[in-house]
Amino acid sequence: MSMKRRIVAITLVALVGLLTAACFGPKPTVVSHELSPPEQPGQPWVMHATVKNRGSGEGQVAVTARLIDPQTGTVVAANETTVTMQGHETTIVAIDLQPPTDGPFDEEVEAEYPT
Amino acid sequence: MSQRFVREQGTQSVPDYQSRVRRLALIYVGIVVVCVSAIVLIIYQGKLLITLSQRSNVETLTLVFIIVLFAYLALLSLPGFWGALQIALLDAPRWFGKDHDEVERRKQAALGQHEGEPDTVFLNCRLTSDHAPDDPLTFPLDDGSGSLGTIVIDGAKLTRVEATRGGSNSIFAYVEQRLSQLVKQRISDARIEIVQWATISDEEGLQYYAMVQFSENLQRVLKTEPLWPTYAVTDDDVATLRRELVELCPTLRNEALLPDVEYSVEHRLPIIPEPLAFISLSRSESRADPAASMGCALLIAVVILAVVAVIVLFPPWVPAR
Repeated sequence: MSMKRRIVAITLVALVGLLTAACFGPKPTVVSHELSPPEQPGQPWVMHATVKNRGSGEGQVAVTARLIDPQTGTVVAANETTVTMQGHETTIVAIDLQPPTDGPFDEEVEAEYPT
Repeated sequence: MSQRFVREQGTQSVPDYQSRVRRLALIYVGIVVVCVSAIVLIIYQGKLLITLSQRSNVETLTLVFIIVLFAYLALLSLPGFWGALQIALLDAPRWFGKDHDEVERRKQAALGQHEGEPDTVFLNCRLTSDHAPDDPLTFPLDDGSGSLGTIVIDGAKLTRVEATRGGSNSIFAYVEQRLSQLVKQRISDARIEIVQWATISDEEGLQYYAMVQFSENLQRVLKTEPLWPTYAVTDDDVATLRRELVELCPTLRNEALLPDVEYSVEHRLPIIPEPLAFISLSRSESRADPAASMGCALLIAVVILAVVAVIVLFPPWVPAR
């Protein structure tokens, strides 16, 4: 393949990439999470999850938190919240959880796209 | 262009033919690998792809269509995949220093006898021997490790008699192209081409050949020069082609292990797409070489797999739930 053709081919691929870049959705990842116990009896536990969008696209992301009983492996509480993220944005999401006991729990948080 | 890439691909010379058969074997392997990979990817990433299709108003059934298309294509290419494996297995002893003739004899033993009518094609002109115009020209396909049949040229008709199972019409294309090159050295404006492929359309072939025979009968009755365009082939031309065909025998054995997927082909280009296709352009060829047709199938499979992979790696924006 001649140099001229290579340049044309690379330019075309780059152009298609550039034109479609705006069509991409987000690529969310949970960077960290922290479980806060209720301040008063009867209030929910709150999972604070830091979610980072590693992509340039925007869109609605579902963040799901689960509390698992380490003895039995049973999910004792789970909740999901959705958040709209811009490209390369980092956001902290608070998810309320109502476990039937006071713990201890194993924590699991995941962010998914598309919802 | 269409002759070289669609009808008669890789039949210009012995190395050309060898690389064509290698390419064809790799195409079959490629199709099966790509199709299976695509099916696995779609099933493994099913949740993501179904969610994307639901959110973007694309029918989820499209994914099923892609799976069915790939499964069909893989199934169609499985004999080729198996043939390519057989070629590799039968050729393997050669890589470890086994005698070339012994390897070829084993390959020959793996081929059965051709069943049914012998493969036939028809030329646009008659080819005759320059010293015995009434005798057919014969080109044995035998390199000492076993016979793959004989190409017989009887006027405008090329037949492969006593052939082994498998193989394709490409050997006829090779004979036609080489004889065309050799005759052109003496007659620069000579044009020798295969115009009818009996294994693809025997009715049209027989219809055409009846016309040629009519001209031969008329010539005999009128005792004139040949009425149908005729070119003489010299003994040197015959000797050259016979030598090349012996060289080609190992490649023909490999080709015989691959399936013969030969059809006529039509390319349609709608100017206005369906359902308002008031104008559409089309072009048809009497034969598509398997390397061209299956090569296109591989290309399309690769493109679809690449699109699915890009969607999985970079999910597009879709409206919120």
